Amino acid sequence: MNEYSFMVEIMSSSLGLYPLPDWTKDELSKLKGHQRDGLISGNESSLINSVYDSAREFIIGEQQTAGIDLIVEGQLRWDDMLAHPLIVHDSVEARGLVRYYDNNNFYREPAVVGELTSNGDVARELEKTSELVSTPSAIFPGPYSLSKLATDEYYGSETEFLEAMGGFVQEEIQGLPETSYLTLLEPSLAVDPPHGDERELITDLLKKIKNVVKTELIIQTYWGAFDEETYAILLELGVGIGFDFVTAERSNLELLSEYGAPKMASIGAINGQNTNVESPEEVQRLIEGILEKSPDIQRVVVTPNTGLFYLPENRFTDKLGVLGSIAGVGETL
Amino acid sequence: MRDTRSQFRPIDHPNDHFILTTVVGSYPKPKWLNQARESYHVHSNKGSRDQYTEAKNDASTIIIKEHEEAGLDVVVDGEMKRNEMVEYFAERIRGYEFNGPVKVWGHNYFDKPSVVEKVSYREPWLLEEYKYNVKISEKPIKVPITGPYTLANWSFNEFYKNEDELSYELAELVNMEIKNLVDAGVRYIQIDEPALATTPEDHKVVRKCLEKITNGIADDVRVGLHVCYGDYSRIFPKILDFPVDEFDVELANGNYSQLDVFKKVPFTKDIGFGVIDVHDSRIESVEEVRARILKGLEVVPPDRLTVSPDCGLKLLSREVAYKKMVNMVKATRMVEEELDRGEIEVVK
Repeated sequence: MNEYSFMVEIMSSSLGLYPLPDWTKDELSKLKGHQRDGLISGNESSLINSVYDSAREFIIGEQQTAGIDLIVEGQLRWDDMLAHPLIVHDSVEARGLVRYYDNNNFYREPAVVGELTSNGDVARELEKTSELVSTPSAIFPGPYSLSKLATDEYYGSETEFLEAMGGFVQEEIQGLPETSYLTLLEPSLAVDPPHGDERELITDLLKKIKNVVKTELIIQTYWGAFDEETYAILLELGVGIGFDFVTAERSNLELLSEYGAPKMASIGAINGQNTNVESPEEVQRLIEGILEKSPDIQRVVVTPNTGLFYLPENRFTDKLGVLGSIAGVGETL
Repeated sequence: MRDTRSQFRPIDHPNDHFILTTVVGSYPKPKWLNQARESYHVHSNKGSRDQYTEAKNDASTIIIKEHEEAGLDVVVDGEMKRNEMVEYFAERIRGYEFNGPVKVWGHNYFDKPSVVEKVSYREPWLLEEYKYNVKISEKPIKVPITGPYTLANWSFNEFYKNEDELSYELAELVNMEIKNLVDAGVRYIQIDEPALATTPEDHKVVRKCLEKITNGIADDVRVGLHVCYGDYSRIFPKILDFPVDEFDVELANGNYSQLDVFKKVPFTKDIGFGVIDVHDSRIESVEEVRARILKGLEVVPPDRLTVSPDCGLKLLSREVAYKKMVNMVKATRMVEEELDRGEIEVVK
């Protein structure tokens, strides 16, 4: 047994969106329709919300059955992976459907037309989750990715807009109930890394966020790896770092060996976008390989590389099962 | 450039100018067709299957007539016999399996299939559909086929090294299908590639696919390429070298924000110009559609302009879809009259 093996705590969790259970799909499409006006606005009827409440309860049960350590809300109300907190905001207009990140996922373009004050939508979702499970793990889109997705029609300059987005995210997460971890999703940090002044600003914003969150913070990227500069900043900040080992294994290993590892690593080890189900053994081998090269890592959260909402329900359940069993393996190391 | 368009000009066309009007493909399904399908899925016996087949034929007949009544020059049967643009084909190609519905956006799902072994041609895909439609229709028929790049990218790939490799294999199958269709009399094929223009380099893959697809296809067969939602600056002007006659794009949904992309160099192919927003149930007025058609004339001359909705109309109600098409055709004929009178300046 290697030295690392008895020191490392391994937990399982997931990033953001789950697929809606099949039994809610018909019901919700009947209640909400198939058009743009049928998408989430934050003003849903109590009937619609009650379907989401039942679905949330179901999905939390699924995680518990699978043996997932850090239970997430599942974000079943979200129409896309990131834009939701803006889309439901009074100062944001949801425009036409657009595609980001070069894949087949659609977002309504969020156009910011007023001040981004605190809104509390995600906090309300998490409060409902807290009634079902003690200290769930929270997921929130990061300010950099949100600013890249959204169109600014209010603040006027990129700097002010990014600052406002940082302030918005900070206020939103300050309003969250107690959680075990807080993961900020920042795919844009990998896909479209910041440079120059923008990099300095995002560093400041993340620092501020780190200072206000009461729980451990993970900055998670996917669809690629962080660039070297961004990675170095995150290490310096001392936050947990989330890697996508499905799409960028080699780059991530290079970062770890070149710059060192964080104490807390979130490892996207299961493909959230393919029905091919990984075996617990192959995931375990990947994790062990990473830990061997990175003895500084003290805690690992094993996750899919993205939200699992891309998957049909049967494969989603299979993948949750794999995640649950990985954590079991980890605990016995 | 070869002329594949004039064969679709109606003999009794009222104006000197001819702007081809058509639809992209899909159309809302009558409720009774969905009920017949449900009944077949529940009972799965000969009686319910025969009823479902009859309902599909009836629906194709009605939608073709509805398209004719709206005044379209080239019609489609609204894809009444197809469940979905990827599923339908995947069900007929060996190598695919299905696991259940997957979210596209909002509450729209599709049974995204998984490729689990080498793909191969098992049976004709659209031959029966075409043979039926050509008997019914008094207007020329267009046959939309989902392109190999989209078939590959909107599937889970568990078998091939990458999606490009899968795309090329599927392109060979599409070519076999088109040869069968052309032998049966098809003269207007539309390859639907909504997945094109989603990554910076995908035009190279689609071009190679189209070369395979059109290999050995007669010169008088009109081949269009339909794209939607993409970033067109990634593919234009590269697509002008693609082996297709017409390039059909969605523009109304984005309020023509990408129009300037097509003005950078002369647009030397026909353009299928999206003038109807298919994600909005508001019916555009004739005047509004006319203004959009005029934007098309900023890109190509009238004899290379095809007017169509942004995309398939299937998410709208049937009444709204029909009214949108009626206004689209009226607006087109109005523009033709204005062109005849020399009231509109056109690009050369």
